[in-house]
Amino acid sequence: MSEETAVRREFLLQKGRFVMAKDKALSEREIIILVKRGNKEAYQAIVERYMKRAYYIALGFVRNPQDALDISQEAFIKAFRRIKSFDIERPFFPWFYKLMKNFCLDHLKRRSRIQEVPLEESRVLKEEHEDREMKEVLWKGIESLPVEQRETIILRYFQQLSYQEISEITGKPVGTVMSSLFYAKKRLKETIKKYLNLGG
Amino acid sequence: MDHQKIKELISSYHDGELDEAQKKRVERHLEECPECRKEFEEMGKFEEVMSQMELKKPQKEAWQMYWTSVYNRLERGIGWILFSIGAIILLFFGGYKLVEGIIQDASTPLILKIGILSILGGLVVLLVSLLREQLFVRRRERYKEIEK
Repeated sequence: MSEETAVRREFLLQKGRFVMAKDKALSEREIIILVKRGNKEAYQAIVERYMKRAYYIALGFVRNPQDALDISQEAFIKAFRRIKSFDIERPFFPWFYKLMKNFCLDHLKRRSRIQEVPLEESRVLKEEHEDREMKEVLWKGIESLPVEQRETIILRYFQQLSYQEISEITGKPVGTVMSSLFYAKKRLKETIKKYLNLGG
Repeated sequence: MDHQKIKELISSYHDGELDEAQKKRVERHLEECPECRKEFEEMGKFEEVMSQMELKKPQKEAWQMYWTSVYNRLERGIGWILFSIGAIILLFFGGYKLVEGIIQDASTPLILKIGILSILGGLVVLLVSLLREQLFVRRRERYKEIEK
């Protein structure tokens, strides 16, 4: 019996938290192989590895914490159901991100038909008063960006990802990410110009 | 000197994405170009504001319950699928038996037969129409290029 098979066998014999304890022993690829066989305990390891990243990205898109939780969880559910179509040779998160982004955009489309969500719900402002208005304007600016620019802003500033990492997740070349970010920043900078006393 | 290119590099400079040669190129340019120096300062202020933007953290319990919630919804989903399949089979079987019974029942007046069959036929048409509308909406999906 190969070492890999032995690890998998041991893994399959165990339940629950053991997955996390053995997480280091199993690569993401190995865990996904188990998930593809319908192993929900193995999927727990994947969900717990990416849940925070998924939540914060969804929150960047939809701004409402409860909606972000629901959307990220729904995306994990859909990913599990579609896991057979996932290419095991590729990293999980970019594939998952595409599913979740679609959920976010659908949600925004539905929400725009219903009503605006109060701006306060989704974030904490460090300085409560003096720059509150500027940040409100900035958030509205982020919301009004084209999807490609908006996602690069979310991944760069709220996930602190490098250009390379953003490129891997979005599937866009690094040069496109760089350019997208540049134009997004240019536009956002313009929206808060008067607050920054930039003149010109 | 291409100011537009330098401005793009200034953005990446603040993101810490430039190699040493590119950084030197930007710095050299800034020494002699007031326009780009202004852009550099503005971008610095912008980055400072962005660094203060934060997304709200959920309550701790949200993380503790996260997997349980996903697991429960996964299970419920399977339950709903099985329930729906069963309901559809029963519905079609019941409908078939109903239509068969009405047609074969000689004691039912013709007008009543026509009325009941018309209602059933109408329901089928409405169902098909709703399904077609859903498919049509999906085809015209704004974000259809994104993998579902």
